[in-house]
Amino acid sequence: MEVTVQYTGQLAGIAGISEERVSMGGDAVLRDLVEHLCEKHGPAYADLVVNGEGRIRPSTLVILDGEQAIGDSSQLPLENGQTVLLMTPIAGG
Amino acid sequence: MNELADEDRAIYEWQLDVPGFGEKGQAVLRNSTALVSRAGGLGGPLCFSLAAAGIGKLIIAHAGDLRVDDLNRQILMRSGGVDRPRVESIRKTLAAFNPRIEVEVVPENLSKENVKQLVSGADIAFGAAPLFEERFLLNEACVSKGIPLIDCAMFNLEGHVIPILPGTSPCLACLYPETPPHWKRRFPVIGAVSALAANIGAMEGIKALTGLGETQYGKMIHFDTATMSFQKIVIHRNPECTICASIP
Repeated sequence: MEVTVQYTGQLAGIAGISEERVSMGGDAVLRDLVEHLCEKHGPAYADLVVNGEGRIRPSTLVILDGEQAIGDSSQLPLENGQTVLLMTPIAGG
Repeated sequence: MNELADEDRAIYEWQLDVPGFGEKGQAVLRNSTALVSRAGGLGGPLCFSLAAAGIGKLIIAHAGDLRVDDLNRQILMRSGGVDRPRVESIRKTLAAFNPRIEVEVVPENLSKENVKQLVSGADIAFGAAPLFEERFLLNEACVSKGIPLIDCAMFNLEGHVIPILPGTSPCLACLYPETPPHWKRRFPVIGAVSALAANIGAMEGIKALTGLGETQYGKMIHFDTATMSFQKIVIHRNPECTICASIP
């Protein structure tokens, strides 16, 4: 399946893109996607998205098709055609 | 509630024509007090728009002296005020712009020591500080008092506004249970992006106070001026939130 991954804030800057399409296995869950992206984009990206235990940081918002995923979203199954928006917090004034 | 004077009707005539607003909405604004946490690139235009709309009173908290590199975005400031307290420029500019509103300037940023007192006099608050610590303090105080908070933020070419109604919509701590470890005090900014976020925030605040339109509680209004894309993201309360979970 293929999902669209979007980025905002500092994460977009580090990834160097605001959107990409990613192919995953049919039974992939969010954690699989995040692990793939962290490996692809390198340690600075990974440091923004996950903590030292490899879990998605509480302050990183995961938005699935326009709606915030709440709680531990790591095991949420991905769907073909889904848009996954990863938002790092901003507070610029 | 203080009624509108003839001069109010003259100044605000064009917005009195807005369906659903009218004299009733104007009177509500005239009798409302807004607290704005920092009046820099974001809070400055926000204050301008609230002043233009005829808010009754602004309480503006902002510490420090004006720096020359503030002037690309802090539109309440004036170049003659460099190296002088920012609150001097804020007071002068707003007084010249709309002398009919009351402006209380506080030459301090929000802190544990002053936040409760500052929020106590407000009907609504606007978060526009560049540090999450100040935003979280304001969030907690607004939840405690039960008043709306309009959190406005920007970075680079994007921004967002989160209208918060305690007990109804997610608070800032629901979204960010920890202080974001990577946020830095210095951020890339073009003033027009800040002003865009500010004016979306001002409009959400005006709606929250007057009942005009639909305040976007439970949504994050996000925009990216690089592509001029706007979206409303559905956000949720965190049942384990340390700040607002106890509110039914």
